[in-house]
Amino acid sequence: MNLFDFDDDSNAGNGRAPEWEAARRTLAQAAPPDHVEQALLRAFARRHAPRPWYRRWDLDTVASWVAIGALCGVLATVGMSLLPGAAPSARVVRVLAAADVGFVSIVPPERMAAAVNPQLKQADIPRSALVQMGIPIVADAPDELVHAELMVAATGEPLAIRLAVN
Amino acid sequence: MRQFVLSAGFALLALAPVAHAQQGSAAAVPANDALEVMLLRISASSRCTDGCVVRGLPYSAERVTESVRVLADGNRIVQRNTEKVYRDSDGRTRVESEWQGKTLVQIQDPVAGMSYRLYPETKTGYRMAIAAPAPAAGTSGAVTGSAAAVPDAARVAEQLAPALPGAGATTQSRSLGTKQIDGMTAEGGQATVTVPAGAAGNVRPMVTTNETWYARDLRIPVLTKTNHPFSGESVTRVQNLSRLEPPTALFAVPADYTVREIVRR
Repeated sequence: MNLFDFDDDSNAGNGRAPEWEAARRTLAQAAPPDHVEQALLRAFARRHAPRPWYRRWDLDTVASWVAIGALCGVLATVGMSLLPGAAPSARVVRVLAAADVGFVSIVPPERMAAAVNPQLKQADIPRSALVQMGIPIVADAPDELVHAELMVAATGEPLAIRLAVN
Repeated sequence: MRQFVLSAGFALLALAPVAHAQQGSAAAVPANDALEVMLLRISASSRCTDGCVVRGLPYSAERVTESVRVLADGNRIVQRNTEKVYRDSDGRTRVESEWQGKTLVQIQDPVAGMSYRLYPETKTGYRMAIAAPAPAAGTSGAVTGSAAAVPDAARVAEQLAPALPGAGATTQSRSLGTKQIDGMTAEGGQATVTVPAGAAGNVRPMVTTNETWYARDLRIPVLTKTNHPFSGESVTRVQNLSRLEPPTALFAVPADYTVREIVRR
């Protein structure tokens, strides 16, 4: 219903001033200029544009949420460490292994340098035999062969060793 | 602003353990770790990654190796080495020994697929993922399943023989039957490898013998005797055996250790 469409008779005796009634009668046939209302709405929208969500947070709000998150993190960490089944893990540093470390000296460099006429001996030796020789490796598969190369001095003293699983 | 800085600091503090546990980028292995890397690589490389895992037969025991080596001047070097060995029902194993004057703990964890070498004194260690080695050309690679895991004494002796100079070695092997060793039934085998006189400038034949007694119900060798011309006589026996389940903590790395993970290239 048009705002200005009204029934005068229904308002009779409502106590309004006669000037008001006259103005209403005058404006009853009036119409606003074209697009004024839309222009006003657009102007209002420009002035009071809704802010994106991230601009609605001020520094204090962000700080509060970060603090709450950090507190939850601390409590979760402490709680996990207190659980019997959740043992904390050791610190792990990753290092790259060479494809073959080559011979590894098992004597001081001076004894290696002083060795006369060293010889290379090699054999495929079971893991259990290597362990029995005092080489600390896992021998869960005791008869699995490990290729061992040993550099031995003329005196029989082992100078360097290289092991590989073939 | 002050509140923000405090909050950020608090957040960093909370995240520190997480960052602490993160694995950093891989660096090169220090040169003085080469021996450790080589031994760990051998432990973590097996063609029998799962088939050799013994499950459901937990035990703990001491493994004592006594070796005697007689030098050319008649002097004798006698060594006694005691290791503590454990195995749980999941097939994890732990060996505590002494290596280069330090206590060494080796853990083989087939459940996590990881092999460890730990040094309790310094709370440091190494670990490497268990994997089968890359096939090498011209190598047969002895694949041995747990079902046939009796260490073949003849093969041990034969494989040790090439370390002897010269050729023409002959091997004789025989079964020693079964006998009770510390309450366990063990099967024995003996092999003798002989390098004939003159094969390597030796005046007399050089003889290597290997005798192994294997407990089938526990699937471990309980007694091994080796006599080698170069390395001398060596006897390894298992004693103080218990078949109770070892504590789980024995097969885990303590949290205060720093472990270097060796990554294969």
